[in-house]
Amino acid sequence: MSAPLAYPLKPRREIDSQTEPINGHKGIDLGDGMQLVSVRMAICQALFEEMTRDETIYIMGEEVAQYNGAYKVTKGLLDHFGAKRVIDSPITESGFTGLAVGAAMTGLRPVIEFMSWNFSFVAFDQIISNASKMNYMTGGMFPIPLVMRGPSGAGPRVSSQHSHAVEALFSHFPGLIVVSPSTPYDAKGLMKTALRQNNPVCFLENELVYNLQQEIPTAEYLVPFGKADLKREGTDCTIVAISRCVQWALEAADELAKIGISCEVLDPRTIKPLDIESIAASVRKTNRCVVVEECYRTGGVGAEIAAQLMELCFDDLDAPVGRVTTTENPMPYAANLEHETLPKPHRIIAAVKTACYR
Amino acid sequence: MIIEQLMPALSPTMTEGTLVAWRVKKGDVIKAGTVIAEIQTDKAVADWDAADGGTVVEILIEAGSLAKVNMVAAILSTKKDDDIPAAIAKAKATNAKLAGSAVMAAPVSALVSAPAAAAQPAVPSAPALVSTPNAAAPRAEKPGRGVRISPVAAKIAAAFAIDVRLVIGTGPDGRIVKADIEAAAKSGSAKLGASASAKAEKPKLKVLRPDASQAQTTVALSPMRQIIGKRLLESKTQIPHFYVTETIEASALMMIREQLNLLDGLKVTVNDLIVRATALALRVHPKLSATFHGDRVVQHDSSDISVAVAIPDGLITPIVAKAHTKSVRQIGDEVRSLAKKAVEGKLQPSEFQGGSFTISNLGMFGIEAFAAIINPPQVAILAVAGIKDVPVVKNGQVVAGKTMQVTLSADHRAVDGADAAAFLKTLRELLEAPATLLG
Repeated sequence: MSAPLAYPLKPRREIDSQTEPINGHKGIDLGDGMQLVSVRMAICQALFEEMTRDETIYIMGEEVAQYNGAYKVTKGLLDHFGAKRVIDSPITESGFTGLAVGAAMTGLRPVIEFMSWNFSFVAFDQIISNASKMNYMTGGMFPIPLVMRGPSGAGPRVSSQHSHAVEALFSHFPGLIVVSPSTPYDAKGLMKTALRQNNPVCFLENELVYNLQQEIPTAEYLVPFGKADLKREGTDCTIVAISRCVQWALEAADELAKIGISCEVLDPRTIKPLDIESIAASVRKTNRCVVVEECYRTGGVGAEIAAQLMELCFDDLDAPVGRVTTTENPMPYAANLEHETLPKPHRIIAAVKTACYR
Repeated sequence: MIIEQLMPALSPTMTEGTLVAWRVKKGDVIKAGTVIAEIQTDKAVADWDAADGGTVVEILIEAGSLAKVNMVAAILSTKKDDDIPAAIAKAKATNAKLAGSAVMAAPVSALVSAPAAAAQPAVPSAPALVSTPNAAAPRAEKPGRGVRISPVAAKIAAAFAIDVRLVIGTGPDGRIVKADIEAAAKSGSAKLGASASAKAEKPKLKVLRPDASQAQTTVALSPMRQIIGKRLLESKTQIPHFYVTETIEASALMMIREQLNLLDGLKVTVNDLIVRATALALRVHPKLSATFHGDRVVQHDSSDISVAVAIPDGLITPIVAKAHTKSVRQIGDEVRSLAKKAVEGKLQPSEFQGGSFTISNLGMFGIEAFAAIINPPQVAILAVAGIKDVPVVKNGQVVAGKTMQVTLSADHRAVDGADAAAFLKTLRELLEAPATLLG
């Protein structure tokens, strides 16, 4: 049986897009200290609260100011904080990332938006060689309090160059924190924690999770890094799912419950640091594990989790750790092929059944 | 629900076994724990307890057949609407896959004889090797690899004291998984020690209880015992015996015996190989293949080897004539035929009179060493002891080995110590390189 989550993912009601705002920093007040927000609004709210709290925070990126962000995550921030703190950049990721590293070195707290993390690849040298190494190479003189954010993973039908999930890629390098929230509650709390960090953070959002809604507290809260969250309690198999895959894992768990397989769904929330202890504790209970991620299989987050589980709880495993990932091909444009490429519920169900010898 | 009863692995090394007899038949309703069949493993005959209950709707392995572990032996059904024909078809497909060829359905008698081979190492792949030389052999599981079991299943099995060798794995390739152990724990069928019958049972020592009886038993000497007594007394008192002992490293010998026994219809014993080796060694050392006649010694070119055979009333030494011209197989056949005749008292005089050399083998009793009395007019006799597992030194390393002691008793009137030693050296070299016995 799944225990009720502190903040259920099925809110009492959805946002009425005809009469209520669907973006911006203001949630829809439900009374009793609760508000209804989407992921998009939750991130905006975190930015708004922290920019209000700390004047050194500023936002820069393509279309973040006048257009309110390509995905409207920064809606209203230009109006409230002004052009000095919400800055439209040219289409030059390498340039504005380098600029942000320099700004962070001088004491500011930049937030840069990649319209998509696929575009961060042209800024790879700035991220890997400068942002993640500067504090180390200057003997601690220049910490880099930089938040790099934007959607990662496959949007619908954006094909092979614009569908990358980058959790595994960026968590490979020491010096970067990698955050990958799946819910409004987590997105807000994690973004606020990111904005108080003195180290560079890759904040990986997901275009297809932006509209997910949840009731969250109106009171301020933070979500710590390195603490996995139990999204569903179960006894037979632990599903570790990341970002958008959490929704798919929960759908799969619903289906599997119908045939008597009780799944526990754990969301690590931060890939680096990774809360392997909570995952291992769950696996010690269920004896089986399937990792679901949008990254590729080779060198993916699932590969890392499987390896660490083998080290930590080998004697508790009843089956090899399963991995459901994006299949190792460039993302096809065709919708039916995209469906088969992604780690969708039907593939999760098959992997869990295999792990349970069913 | 359809429940397949899979041929169990009743010992860690078992990869196949003979289904000796069914204790249930089609139509029987059984409970979990019912003994459904008897299985001959590579070590013993054991009862097979069903792990589940149900109605026996099909039996797929005939009594007397050899079956691979995990073959579907029988099918149980628990519900009226079970699709039994489909279950049978599936089981047959499973069995065909495991068998790899039709040979597995053949009665065991057509294959290498596995029973009565308590002292013989198991030879799992023998049937396929012999009967289907060209077909792909069934995927032989590596002997000694042990039980396939998931880590957590092993952990739980240890906690519940469950003998995993008795648990049938339902995972891929027969892997025992957590659910299998939980089921075994529930039924209690695989508790450690619960199935002593599954292990080779050690025979009890038979010792007469001491009692106050003062009775005496008088046994008159039979004619045979009188002759034995007279001749051996003469031998032991009149012949100047001397004894030379040699230790033979027998690992290769055991291995070649095992390999020879892979052949269909062949059952080679260590004794057969020793007779052959002795026959060859005597050709090199003719002084020992001789008879002593007071003022002369006759050397015999032919190695006519007397083999001591125990019979109810004493012992007799039938002869393998011209043993140096015979193959190991021929020697074995002949020794067994002669021994049978000896026990039945049907030996013709020509079959036990004469002979140029005697072998007395007490190896089957596992004894350490002994010295025999010369069988006159022969000039030497070889006493063969048991093969022992011992540490041996090879290339400066202590490793596990097998050794066998042989002691030659020789008549110093005809043979000197150096002759005896040279003969034993040749014998040892032949037995330690036993492929030479096949040349």
